[in-house]
Amino acid sequence: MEGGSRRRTGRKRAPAFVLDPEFRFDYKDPQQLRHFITDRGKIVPRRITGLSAKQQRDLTRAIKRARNISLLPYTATK
Amino acid sequence: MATSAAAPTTRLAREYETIYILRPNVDNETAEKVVDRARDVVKRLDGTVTKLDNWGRRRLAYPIQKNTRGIFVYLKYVGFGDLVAELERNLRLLDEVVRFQTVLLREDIDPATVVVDPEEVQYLHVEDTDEPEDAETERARSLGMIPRAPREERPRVAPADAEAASTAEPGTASAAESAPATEPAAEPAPASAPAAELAPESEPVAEPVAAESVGDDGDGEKPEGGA
Repeated sequence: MEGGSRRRTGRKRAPAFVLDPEFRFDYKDPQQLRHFITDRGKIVPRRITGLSAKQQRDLTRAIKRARNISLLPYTATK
Repeated sequence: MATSAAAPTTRLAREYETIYILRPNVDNETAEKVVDRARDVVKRLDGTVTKLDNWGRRRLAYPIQKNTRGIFVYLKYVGFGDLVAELERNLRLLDEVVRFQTVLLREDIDPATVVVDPEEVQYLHVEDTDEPEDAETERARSLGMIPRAPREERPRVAPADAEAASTAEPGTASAAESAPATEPAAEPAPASAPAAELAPESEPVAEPVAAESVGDDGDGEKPEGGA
């Protein structure tokens, strides 16, 4: 339990543009979404991104839509 | 279902956007036919196309039907509830369309207030610009430098090759082939064949060339193996 709280949020803080209240995640913009996936294509968890719960849900929805349309990979093994 | 304009309560429409992907090798006429078909469907069901955008050929994040690229077309339209199912049914029937996705954008739109800018609903062909990327990987692949899975076995094969080449020249080919034979994985056999061909030529040149071209992983290992 303590080990988890040592590496707190802030490792991959949400980029500033997320703070704009008008901002919405767009599944059509893979460049923007790339900030929020790991190098293996996995969605970064909320404790790392620092997003709010609602934002994280919208982000996940956008990423999954983008994956469906092959704008983002499901898995990226090199 | 026809909209009765005389009724005081008009049905409320919704705004959708659909993205569909065509195979990259379709020609312009076929792409236009798909667009026209989509437009007809929308019109037939009392909808309005508000925006049409051709993103052109793009790289896919993963291969679809063995293609690594596809033509993306973006369509935004306003319609009633039955429109999406019909449009998707039509797209599904077409062979050129390999993927589609529809997203609901907004509800409660009065269809009379929809303004269409004719400029935005034109289908414009986008020229193919991104070719050299694939040509490089294709060339590299044909040289046997990027096999998929066997790449990971290369660090194991390289030290064996270095040892074999340093011990005896004529014995190199057989030694290199027998060493990977003892490897548990079956994959190294095709990977060691190009490596074995390179090794007899000149040992100090071959190893760094093979190491650098393969590139990404095992960077720390290969120069040591070559040296």
